[in-house]
Amino acid sequence: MKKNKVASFFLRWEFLLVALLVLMCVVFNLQDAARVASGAARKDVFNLPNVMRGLRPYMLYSFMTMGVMLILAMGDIDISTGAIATLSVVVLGALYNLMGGGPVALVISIIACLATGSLCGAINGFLVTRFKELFPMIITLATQLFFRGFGYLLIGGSTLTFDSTFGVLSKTYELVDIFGLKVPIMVLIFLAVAVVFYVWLHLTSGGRKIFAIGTNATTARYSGLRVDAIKMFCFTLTGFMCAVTGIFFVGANSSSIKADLMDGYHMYAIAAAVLGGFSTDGGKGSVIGAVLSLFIFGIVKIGLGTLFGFADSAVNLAVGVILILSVLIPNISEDLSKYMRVRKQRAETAAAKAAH
Amino acid sequence: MQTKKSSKPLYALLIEHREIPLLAVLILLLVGVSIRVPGYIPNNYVNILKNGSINMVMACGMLCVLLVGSIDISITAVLAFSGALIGKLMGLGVLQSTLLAFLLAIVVGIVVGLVNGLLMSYGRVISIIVTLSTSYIVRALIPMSWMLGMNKVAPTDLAPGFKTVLNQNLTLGPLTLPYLALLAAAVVIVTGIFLKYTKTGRNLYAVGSNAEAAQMRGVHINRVKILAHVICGATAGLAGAMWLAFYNAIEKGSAEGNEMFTIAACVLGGVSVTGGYGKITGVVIGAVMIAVIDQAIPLLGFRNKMITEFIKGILLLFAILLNVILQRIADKQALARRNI
Amino acid sequence: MSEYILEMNDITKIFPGVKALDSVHFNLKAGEIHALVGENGAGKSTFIKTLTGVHQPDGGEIILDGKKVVMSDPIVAQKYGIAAIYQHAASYPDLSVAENIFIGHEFKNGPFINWSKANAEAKKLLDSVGADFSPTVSVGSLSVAQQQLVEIAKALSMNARILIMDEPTAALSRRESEDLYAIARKLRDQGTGIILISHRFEDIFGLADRVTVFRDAQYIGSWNLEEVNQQMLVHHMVGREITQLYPKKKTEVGKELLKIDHLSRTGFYRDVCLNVKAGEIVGLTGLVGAGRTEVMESVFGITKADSGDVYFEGQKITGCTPIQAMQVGLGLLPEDRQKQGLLLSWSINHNISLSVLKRCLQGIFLKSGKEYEISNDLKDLLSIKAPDTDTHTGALSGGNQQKVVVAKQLAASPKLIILDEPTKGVDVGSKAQIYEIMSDLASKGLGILMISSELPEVINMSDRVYVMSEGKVTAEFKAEGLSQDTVLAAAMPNSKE
Repeated sequence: MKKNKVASFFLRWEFLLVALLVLMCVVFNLQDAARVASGAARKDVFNLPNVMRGLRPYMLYSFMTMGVMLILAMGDIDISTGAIATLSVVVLGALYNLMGGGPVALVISIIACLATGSLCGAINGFLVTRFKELFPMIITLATQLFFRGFGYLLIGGSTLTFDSTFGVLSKTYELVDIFGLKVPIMVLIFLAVAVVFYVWLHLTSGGRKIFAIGTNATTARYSGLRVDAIKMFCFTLTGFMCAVTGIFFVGANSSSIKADLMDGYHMYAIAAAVLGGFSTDGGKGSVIGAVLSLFIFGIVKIGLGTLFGFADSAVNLAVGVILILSVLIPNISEDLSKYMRVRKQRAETAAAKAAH
Repeated sequence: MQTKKSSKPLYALLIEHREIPLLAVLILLLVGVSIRVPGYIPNNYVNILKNGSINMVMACGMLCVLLVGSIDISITAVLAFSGALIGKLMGLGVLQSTLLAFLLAIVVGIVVGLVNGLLMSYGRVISIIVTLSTSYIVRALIPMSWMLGMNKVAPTDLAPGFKTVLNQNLTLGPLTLPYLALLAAAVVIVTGIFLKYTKTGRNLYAVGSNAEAAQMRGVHINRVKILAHVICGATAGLAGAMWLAFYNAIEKGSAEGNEMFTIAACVLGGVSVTGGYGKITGVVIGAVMIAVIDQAIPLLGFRNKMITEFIKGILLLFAILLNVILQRIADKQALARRNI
Repeated sequence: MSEYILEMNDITKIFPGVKALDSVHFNLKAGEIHALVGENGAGKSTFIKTLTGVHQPDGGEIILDGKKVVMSDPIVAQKYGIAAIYQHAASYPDLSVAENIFIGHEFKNGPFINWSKANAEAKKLLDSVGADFSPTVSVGSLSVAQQQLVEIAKALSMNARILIMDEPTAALSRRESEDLYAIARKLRDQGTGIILISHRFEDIFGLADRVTVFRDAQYIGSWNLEEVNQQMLVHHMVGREITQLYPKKKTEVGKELLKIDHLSRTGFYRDVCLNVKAGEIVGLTGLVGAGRTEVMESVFGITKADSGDVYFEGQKITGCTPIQAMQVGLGLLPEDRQKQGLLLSWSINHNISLSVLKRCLQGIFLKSGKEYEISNDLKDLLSIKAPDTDTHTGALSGGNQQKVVVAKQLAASPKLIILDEPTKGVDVGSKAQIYEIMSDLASKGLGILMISSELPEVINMSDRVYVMSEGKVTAEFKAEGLSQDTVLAAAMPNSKE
């Protein structure tokens, strides 16, 4: 029994992800050293400061991943997150310029941006809870087109540019010195947010309820859970987190805004959550896993890109393979253990018969 | 037992033929556009046909996977990959025959579809995750298969016969029919016959409608699901060859995101995403509708073509909600008829 | 050559964790109706599935016409002339009636399906079973009874030599059942061997020639129908005398707790009035589909009633939500414990605490110590058989699963519990324990409303009995001295209309 517990601790998904992360760092460091030794590179590039700097573009969608995670845990899916983030920043930019700029306008338009995100999320939540006959996938496909198109409706194909006050936002993309190591502000904020989500999802009754809904929404309802209200809240919160992602995105991209940003972000977010152990079936997953997955994807992209010279899109190959294996391996091991159990039972039955 | 002959109310008819309301909307749309833009249909039908054909072909495959209750979002990645591969082979001078190029593109699609099918059936991975992964992988294979950082196939790479084969029109009296559309029509007809009149085709419906029952009756569910994914992959591969032959260029980002419009065409056409229900006629109407919107919005004087997405979103939302509401009315009436 | 067209010997089937069949026997003659009976979980369905090739047995042999055969696949079984009418999960709701009938053996023109012939042939078959709907409508739009007729037509279309009928009358009215009996007799007289699975003794005694009993995955015996009576059959099925099953205590009946006043919901139930008092066990019975579960779901707030009111302790709670119902002191043990009552992949502990999470909090954090306190207490109280409360509920037996659902209700300390089919699919030992729990609760002053189709438990456990038929309450009885026939008469749908 005791041995089993130790084994199950090391076989926990989060532990495997940590192992994967460490393994990747080792491989990249070796490759780095090899390149320096062979004279292919003048000095090492895969070091902590570089990684910290390089991580930033891949951490932008980390905020919306926290929301997508909740939705997957409830057994639903949301593919409109990228579109919500885009629409939110379009509102941010358009309102800011409309108000003629300045700090007050910035604060008001940031609030409007967050409100827009939340409203979009609430629309998804409303449709998902009121039209249970429809798959959330299809509903959010439709709202995705709708939100994205609404952004175009507001600013057309133009690129918004801003005055210097607006440039404050790019501070969010900077690095801050912590014990001599330059760490992106964004990552620090994200980790703080992730801690909040961890506490909520794994230590409070709210999180327990979300997993209960994902495991079996009918049972959850018969157990007195306000299933629709909880779903509504999670979709709205996801919309809010999308707007947060949008604000960081603006900070990262020289404060210029177009209506076709963040295409494909919904898929990155889903991929990170799934690698983190969440499933579109619902009922499982861990925040730590999702956070680790975000870093894994970031480091894979940095490592393969800078060290192995893979084009950015080719790095997606690794992302795809990791993603599919992350779901396939648990399934196969489950099948195997089931098969072994039946085999053992059969052998026992046969033995009992022989003894007869 | 009472034998009261009840005439069918309108909503029941609409439920049974979910494509009828859509057809009405399509006609309204065409009439509306024609009023604003005189001579719209005669002047533009060739373009509508051209614009809609590739999506139509992929929608046929998508119908098959939706019928078994699965989904495939890797189709546009397959499109780009198969197109890029045959384009590159032509550029290298390895491949000259147009027919072989098309066949090779289809084979590429079949292979990806087979992988999707195997992973989702025997690997028990949910189809959206499988095809999300394969779409990453397949798109990543495009630049890798070219080894050197080339990022597109240019018209100069293509064999002369291939370049022109789908850019011709068939003239039938006053009608001009693009070859591209004729090819799409052929795919539609074959798919339609397959789904309606063959045992294998009906098995797709059976598995999507009630997998447990199908299994009890000896249908190999996994095989049927794999077949659906293979068909979908094949149509996506074919769409890749069509894209290259029509536009004469392809790059690694080609058609990215368009898979959503393929799914939208099916859903607009009344196909159920939970499986078991969907007709080829509905899919055709859905695909035509999307092509019309794409084509007509700029003519209506909207400065930005991207507003089409907004309209597609609204339309899709409207169509699916209408279906649900009609179904709810029908259920309610059925309950009232129970007379309790 | 033996007199049997089918012999199945020593059939064993193993699933992960359970032996579903343990060396069972069965045989069938041409032109006889052979009933197969047993409690839920006795192995009947698994047995049928090994015969139809859905499952492969782990041991034993199937002999057809004296020759050993292997049912490797349902298609093989069909080729041998074996057809089945399943109770549920057998039709394709999106497909037309004709297609449902002929799927698997379609009429063809070359490689293509001939739809006009299929529709015409389907019409003939539908006429022969007395169905009046068109073969082109989708099966999903039909009522349950009509769907059952489609299943029968399908079985007929296969010209089977061996026909399996799995609970064929469960959804049918008496009139429709009689039509079905007539069809079954006709087929038997034509030489078809029929295997009949049913819970209704009237089906068995009215139709069958022989009967075989399974219990706990084992073969108990086969008898000619003349040799046995109902009591003996029940004895064989449950494995002990049933009189000691019902530990009903006399209790003090208190004030009225629940009052349902002219509650109606279109299509489900109409004008339902009933009440339950403290310390009282009230039975609510009727056929499947009579609307019992639907009434209680509206009371508990799962669905909304169209009109009428619900009162709890005099307070109007019409249109409440489940959480509000629980707060006033109402508990509902749902009909399907696996789909509505439990989270099968969760532990006993987490299942029990789910409805009382508020009580397990310390500050904002869930305190697992408090959860264990609650669940361990209830585990002991209800003697749930499991190593500890960390055991997954999916790994428990039906009876113990049901006790966990009861524990969930009790954790919320209700004043009245609605139990929907509390002993369905529960082994005899656990059944007795559940009855004991009910009696204890009632003696502590709880009100209990028990929905059940099993007349013996309704009559022996209740103080009062309500009977529903076709959405209406048709009778109310004092349970003492009540006979099953009286209840059945009230439960049968009025076929005159």
